[in-house]
Amino acid sequence: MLPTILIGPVALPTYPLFLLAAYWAGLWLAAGQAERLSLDGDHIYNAGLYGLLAGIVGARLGFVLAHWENYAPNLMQALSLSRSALSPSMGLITAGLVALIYLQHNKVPINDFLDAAAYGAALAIIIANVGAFLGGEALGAVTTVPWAVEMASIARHPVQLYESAAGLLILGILFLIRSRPWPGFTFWCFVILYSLSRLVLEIFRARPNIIGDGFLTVQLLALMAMVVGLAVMAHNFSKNPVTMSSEGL
Amino acid sequence: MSIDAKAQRDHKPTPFFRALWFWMAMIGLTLILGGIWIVLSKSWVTAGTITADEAINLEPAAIAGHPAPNFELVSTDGETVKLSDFKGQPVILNFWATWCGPCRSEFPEFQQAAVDNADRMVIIGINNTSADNPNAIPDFMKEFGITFPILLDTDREAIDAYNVLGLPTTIFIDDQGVVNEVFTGPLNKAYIESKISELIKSDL
Repeated sequence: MLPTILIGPVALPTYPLFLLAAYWAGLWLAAGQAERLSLDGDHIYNAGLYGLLAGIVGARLGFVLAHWENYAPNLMQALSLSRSALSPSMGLITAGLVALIYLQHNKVPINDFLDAAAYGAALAIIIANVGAFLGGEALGAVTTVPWAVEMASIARHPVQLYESAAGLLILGILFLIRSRPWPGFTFWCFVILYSLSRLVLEIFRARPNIIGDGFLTVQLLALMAMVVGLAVMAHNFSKNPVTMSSEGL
Repeated sequence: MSIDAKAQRDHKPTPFFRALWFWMAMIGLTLILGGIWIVLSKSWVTAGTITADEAINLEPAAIAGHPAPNFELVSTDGETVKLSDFKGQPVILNFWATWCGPCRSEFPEFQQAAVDNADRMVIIGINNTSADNPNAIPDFMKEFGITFPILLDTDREAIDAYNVLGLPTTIFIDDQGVVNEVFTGPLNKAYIESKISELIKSDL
């Protein structure tokens, strides 16, 4: 484990550093892919930046609203700079909404944007999970398999590396497919493949989120996302009798 | 497009992935295989192969999900206090020192929280006595009207067990004795209260 990276006298926390790198690299790759789809790459950077800022604000707002009775007497406390007191789901929703508003406002074709973003997301998943592995975050389940890695004082599945490898595989497949029979195709491929990876790999996580009497929450969500993705495929392929075109990819 | 080319195209058989039946079959297959996998996973969860209670087998450590390391320290009242005495109740450990400014700012909040939740949870202050002036402690406690237990860590026993690198550090522990969060830096009232309501809720 390498929870901090030392650069001279400065100790940087590994996982947040990798998250930052994942975010930047994801935007960079998505912007490059956007240019290939004759979309202005700046739109990717802008939507990414506004989304990030809105995400941070939304995550804090979500936490404050969920604990309103504690924050109401003195709202200034909501402004603390700590990394806690955040609601990740609210952050994601706000980020998505603001990015969507930006894209609508600038008349960016949403499906083209999503297709470009899919490549960036896959790259970000690869990098973020390497960071989680090094930083000892999102630990894997305890195991005796020969490739187990000792983390937090016990041998575990290096589940972060499984996720990272899945991301690499997904990115490879997206580049292999390349062609885009209809706008949005690449994005939905990503949704289906990523959901599949989560469906399979979730059992290797320590303390997975559980719903009902023992169902893994992520697996149920992943299966739903896969079915939605396949339904979108069915809809678009059956209504589009156009021939396969590469559209510059 | 010339008529010839069009005719040629129309003669080509429809690729399988353009057919609705193909995608319907894929959805069916996904639901069946995915459903089997999910039910299998659930059976592993209930059998304990993968379990939310895995913390029981983990080494005690100041890491979320691990059992909180036990310690035995003497309080300012001269009583011997063990963390394990409080099993069954959520516990907040606050590491502090009299010279630590941010510790001062959060002490009134901890005192208030200790009074408000006296019957539901425990707040313990651990003074880093190995790096503090023991004579300054009574004045500090009087200044803030502290009524919750303050333990004196003269030999860095708890400081080392919890790998405390800076003050203040606050450890939130659930009623099962499992670390919920390790927080470095000063806390504000609203966050302390939010964490307490979370810890008490998981209690029910």
